[in-house]
Amino acid sequence: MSAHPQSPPIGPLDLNINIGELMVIVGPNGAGKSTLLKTLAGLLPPHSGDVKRFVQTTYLSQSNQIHWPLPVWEVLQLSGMDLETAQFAAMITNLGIDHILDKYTNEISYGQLARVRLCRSLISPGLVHFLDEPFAALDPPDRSEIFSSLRKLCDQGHTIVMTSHDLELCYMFANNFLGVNRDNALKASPKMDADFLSWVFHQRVQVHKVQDQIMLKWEQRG
Amino acid sequence: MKQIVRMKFLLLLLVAMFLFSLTQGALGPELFVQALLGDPWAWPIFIEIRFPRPCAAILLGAGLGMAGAAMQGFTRNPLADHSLLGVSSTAALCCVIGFYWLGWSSGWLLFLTALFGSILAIGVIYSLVRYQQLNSTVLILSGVALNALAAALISLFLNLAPSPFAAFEVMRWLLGSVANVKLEDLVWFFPSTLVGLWLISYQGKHLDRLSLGIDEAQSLGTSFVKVGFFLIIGSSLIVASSVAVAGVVGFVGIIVPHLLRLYLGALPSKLLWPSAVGGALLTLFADQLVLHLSGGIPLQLGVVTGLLGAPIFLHVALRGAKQWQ
Repeated sequence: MSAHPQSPPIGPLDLNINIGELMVIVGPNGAGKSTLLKTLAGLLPPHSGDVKRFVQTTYLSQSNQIHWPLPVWEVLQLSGMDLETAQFAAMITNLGIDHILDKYTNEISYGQLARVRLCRSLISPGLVHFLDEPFAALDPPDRSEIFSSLRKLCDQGHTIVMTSHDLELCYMFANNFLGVNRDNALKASPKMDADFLSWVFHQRVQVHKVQDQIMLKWEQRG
Repeated sequence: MKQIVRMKFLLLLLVAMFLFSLTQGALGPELFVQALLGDPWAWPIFIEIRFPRPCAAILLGAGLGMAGAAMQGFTRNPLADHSLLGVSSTAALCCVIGFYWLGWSSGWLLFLTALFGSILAIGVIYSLVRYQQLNSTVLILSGVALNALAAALISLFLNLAPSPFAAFEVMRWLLGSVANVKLEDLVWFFPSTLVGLWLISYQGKHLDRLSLGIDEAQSLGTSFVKVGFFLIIGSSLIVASSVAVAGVVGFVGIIVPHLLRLYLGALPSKLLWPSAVGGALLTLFADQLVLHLSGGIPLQLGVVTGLLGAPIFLHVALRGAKQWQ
């Protein structure tokens, strides 16, 4: 698996991503989550081996900006898709941006901009979406709401691979996990349990289940 | 709809301005009328002396306008311009070297040397965008440094000029003017500008996608390297031919896209052809100012566009500090 020229390679990894999966890449800062995501999305060449993509994919980068002050509908139109469909109408309602289509990207809030960019990526041609920290700019209640609409998309046949730091939400909505740890090693796991998390973050953790949610209790270091 | 009406208005204004400038100049409007009536004495004077000047102004402005809009789209920076970032001066430097060392005086050969210089300079700027992931300020500063280097080297050649007369000639040419453009210059100026415009205009969709960032544009099917390649070739054809014909006429590529952005929005593809029309209009207008305001000492076109452009540049810079960060 590849990385920036300066950083050590990440991996090894042998992984199939299936249709309808919502896979989350977790790991500490600087471990290489974004690099891994870019490589899977085909934007960086792998260090060795290859990444086969059987369908068209979309990508959403971490930097939350649009370089020109454009109307929101114009940004969405960059996807190349028809903005008149019922599917599109449902999408903008779900993401809560149906009322700001005529606003300019420099007039809306950071969180709204994140939703617009997420929407642009989700409506672009391709059923597999690679999303880098799509929730970083959102308020906590909105995160869970939008995460659940991503889950619904996957149930409808989309596939999502994303990075996130919201472990509790990931537990609720994702069905496959990929951990990158500080040694740039990778581990895939169908469930997020104490063993997986302590391997990824190099730290002991207790996982408490409360109904369908979890609470994490990290042990102090040293 | 509104935008199409505005474009039609601009085009109409350009045609009117062109016809008007054909009637202006030495020998007055009578020359135009007599030439149209088929006067065998007036026709060659009209076609050899009167006609090339406004044509050159239009080609120059159209090319520099669209090339400026494209460079701003590519670098995602409203301050990027070929004159500001040192592309024009590098092309001019190559021309000066051609003059002095190789003794070339024909426009065609100068065009080739200028082409070499602008491909080099735009290539440097575009690879800075790609490999250094530069922010706006560093990009502009690097371009300004490139500009300063080219200007210093030009000064060196002027300094070492064997005769003060030769140095003066070069300095006048550097200031930029279309007053002495000949019909035979148009023979290559016209096609090279046209090919440049054509190459650039096809990159509109990709420039739009780049406003999402390089990676997201790539995921939509835009190849940064390919777009960069076509833009380097297209803009170099435009900048090099304009420098070889008319010297350094600055700021057209900043003024025009900036003003049009206020009316047409900031989407790069929507600014390409309007910037060409607007640039042609601005240069033609500035050249008419030059023609009518010149007293004993003829004004140079580059001086007028510089005077018009610098305050607008300052305005964009101050505005950009607030809005485009």
